[in-house]
Amino acid sequence: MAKEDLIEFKGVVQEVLPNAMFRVKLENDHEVLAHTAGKMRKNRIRVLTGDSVVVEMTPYDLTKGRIIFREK
Amino acid sequence: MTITVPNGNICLTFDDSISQQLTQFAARHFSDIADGYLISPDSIPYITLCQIHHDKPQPRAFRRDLGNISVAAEPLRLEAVNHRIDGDYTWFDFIIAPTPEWLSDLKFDVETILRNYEIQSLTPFGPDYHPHVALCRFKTSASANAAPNAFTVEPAQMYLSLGGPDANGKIQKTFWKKQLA
Repeated sequence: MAKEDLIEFKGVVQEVLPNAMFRVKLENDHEVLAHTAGKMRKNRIRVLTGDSVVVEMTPYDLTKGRIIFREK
Repeated sequence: MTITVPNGNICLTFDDSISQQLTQFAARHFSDIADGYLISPDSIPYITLCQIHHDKPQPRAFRRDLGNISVAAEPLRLEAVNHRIDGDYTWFDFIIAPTPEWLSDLKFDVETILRNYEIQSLTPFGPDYHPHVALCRFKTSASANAAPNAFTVEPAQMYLSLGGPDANGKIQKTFWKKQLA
């Protein structure tokens, strides 16, 4: 999948769910289901409720995404 | 009500060594009671990522795009044998819980490609996705015991695969596969 096919949104983690998933509220008030990207796992970056994150999503499905960045 | 039946399965399959170990384990514990599903050389073990239903032939580019997914796979531990009741039947599975993050990542990429080709995924995403290797199905009135066992599968022993399931979910062969590492 080409990187340019994906879009990015900022959001805040609302809830940590089972199976290493997160419910994230985006700046546009939409809620999405997200998991963490491989590079975050590699760098052992933990994501908790209340964290501000950047979520990468496909324009074809705006209900799920991948957390690619956690702000400090 | 119309039920959409899967006619394809994008899944993880294993190399011959792991497949053989799993089928031997299943044969040892379940061959007497299996009814309609038992992994064997004719029913390969697999982990479903996305069951799919498609009416049109898949374009060649679909498999190319699947092959272009970059997977940061890690070793997978098949640890607990679990049973689940499905109507009159009970299934024995090796479950993978919690779902490894790399597997969620891979499923996300696969689903994105499916959507690009307007192919429907019938498998849930997120907390409702429970990856497993189905070992056997039997009538719930029978009883079975599975001795504890565990398998560790290295990335190089796994393949992202496209298989064609029968009505019971049995996959006899894969049409396409790519080694994960």
